[in-house]
Amino acid sequence: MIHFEGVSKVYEGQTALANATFSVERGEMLFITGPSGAGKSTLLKLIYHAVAPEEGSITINGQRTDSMRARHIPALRRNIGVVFQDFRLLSGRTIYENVALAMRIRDAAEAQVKAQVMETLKMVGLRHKADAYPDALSGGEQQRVVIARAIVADPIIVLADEPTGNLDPVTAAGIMRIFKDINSRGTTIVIATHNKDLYANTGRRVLRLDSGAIAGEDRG
Amino acid sequence: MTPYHFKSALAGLWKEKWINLLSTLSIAVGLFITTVGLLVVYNVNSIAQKLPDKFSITVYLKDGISQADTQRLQNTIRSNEYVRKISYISKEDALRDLKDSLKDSAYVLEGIDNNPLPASFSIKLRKDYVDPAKVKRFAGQIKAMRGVDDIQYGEQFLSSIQSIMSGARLAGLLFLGALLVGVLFVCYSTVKILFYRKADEVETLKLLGATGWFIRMPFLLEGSLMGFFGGLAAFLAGYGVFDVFLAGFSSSVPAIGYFLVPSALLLSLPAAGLFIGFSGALIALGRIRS
Ligand SMILES: Nc1ncnc2c1ncn2[C@@H]1O[C@H](COP(=O)(O)OP(=O)(O)OP(=O)(O)O)[C@@H](O)[C@H]1O
Ligand SMILES: [Mg+2]
Repeated sequence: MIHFEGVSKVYEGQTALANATFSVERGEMLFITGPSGAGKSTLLKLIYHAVAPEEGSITINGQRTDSMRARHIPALRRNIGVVFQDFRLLSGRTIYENVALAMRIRDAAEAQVKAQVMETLKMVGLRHKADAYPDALSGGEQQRVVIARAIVADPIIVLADEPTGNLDPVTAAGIMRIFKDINSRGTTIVIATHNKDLYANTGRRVLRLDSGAIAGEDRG
Repeated sequence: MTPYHFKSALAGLWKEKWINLLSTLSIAVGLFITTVGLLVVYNVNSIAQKLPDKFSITVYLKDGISQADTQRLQNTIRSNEYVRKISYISKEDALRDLKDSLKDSAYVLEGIDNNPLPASFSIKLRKDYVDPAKVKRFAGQIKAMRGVDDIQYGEQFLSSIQSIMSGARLAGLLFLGALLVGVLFVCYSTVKILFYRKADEVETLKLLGATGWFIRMPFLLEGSLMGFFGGLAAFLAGYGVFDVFLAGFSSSVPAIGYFLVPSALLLSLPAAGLFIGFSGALIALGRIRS
């Protein structure tokens, strides 16, 4: 589903990812871990083409994306749901509208938008906040809105960048249950995190990054 | 375009209502001045269009020309493609006209028993041929004909018709062009500012996989709506000024009654505003790169 071959990303002389080669199979749940600044977010950004690599090739769902034409990028991104580390909620729109956006971008019918948005908000425990604005929510609540937006449209890949950074252990466990659930229905999931609790005893693959290099791989 | 786009455009307009109101008013003022300019050009043009009717050429005939020669000459001239109308003024007609125009002073003609005035033709040309070069060529042809003594036409009048028509048209078009560019620029900069303010939001939409058109749509609608409402305001102002105000005055100042206001021009203002608003927004948005 995702394949990196010798991928490097350099920001103004600063190497964020160096010669990375790895694969993620369809329906897999992969964790990426490593210290701050190791290149976890960069790796995810390369997958949804927020940044393009200087070197190497990236294949997503059978399609080479590293040197993809700009006009094909939106379609690639619509296959991917992203939980951004910096949330990226639209402050001028309600929680409902923020989550609905992911479906509107995919041209979903209004009835379907309503049904799926409400169901997903219920999953993350924020149904009662549908009409609130992001500024009126706690950090953890905002994070759950971002998660809802990433999964509401049933993308084939979900990328989650530190999805539980603002959550207490109980809520975090709830979110992980949701990820496990959609993963069991076939969605490929990549989660970048510092939080060992998320992958401990899961038996899932864990990729360790250090200073932009893949330092090792084991199972949680 | 979906109801969603329409709603977000309205929300966007409302959120920045003051700057949008100012832009809409600027568009209205621009379109209104443009309309006044168009009306002036239109009226100057329609007056200039009527001037050729007033233009005539007088062909003086040689003294002693026979009736048959006069008739032949008249037929030849009438068959010329330039000529719309030709009328014969005999020596007697000319004298009577002169007496009529002198009225009370007609006694100066007493004692003249030999009519000194020549017979003549008065020629009106077809509209398309009222043009200095063409008239000159035509006059040359006539003058060469047998029995023609002299020929007279208002060269001055002719060239002033020309310069009014071409000058007014050119000045008018330049003026209107500048104004329309101004109105376009108002739409352009308003949408550009709105777009810059929402740069963050636009970036997020891109990352979520929105296409360029999905992102542009609300902005295009906002620009179009501002243009439309600006046009509507200009229409209402124009209607108020021209239809109510001018009509009220024309009863006391008849000249105003001749000022023509084609209602199609006023009615097209909202559509023109919409078009300009849309175009300005489109240029402002440019290409949206992922
Ligand atoms: N836009 C950018 N411009 C310049 N340097 C950048 C940019 N983004 C990231 N970097 C650098 O690239 C390196 C990797 O950053 P990245 O965000 O991928 O780290 P991370 O593993 O996600 O860290 P964290 O756990 O703190 O989120 C860092 O040294 C960072 O300073
Ligand atoms: Mg990061």
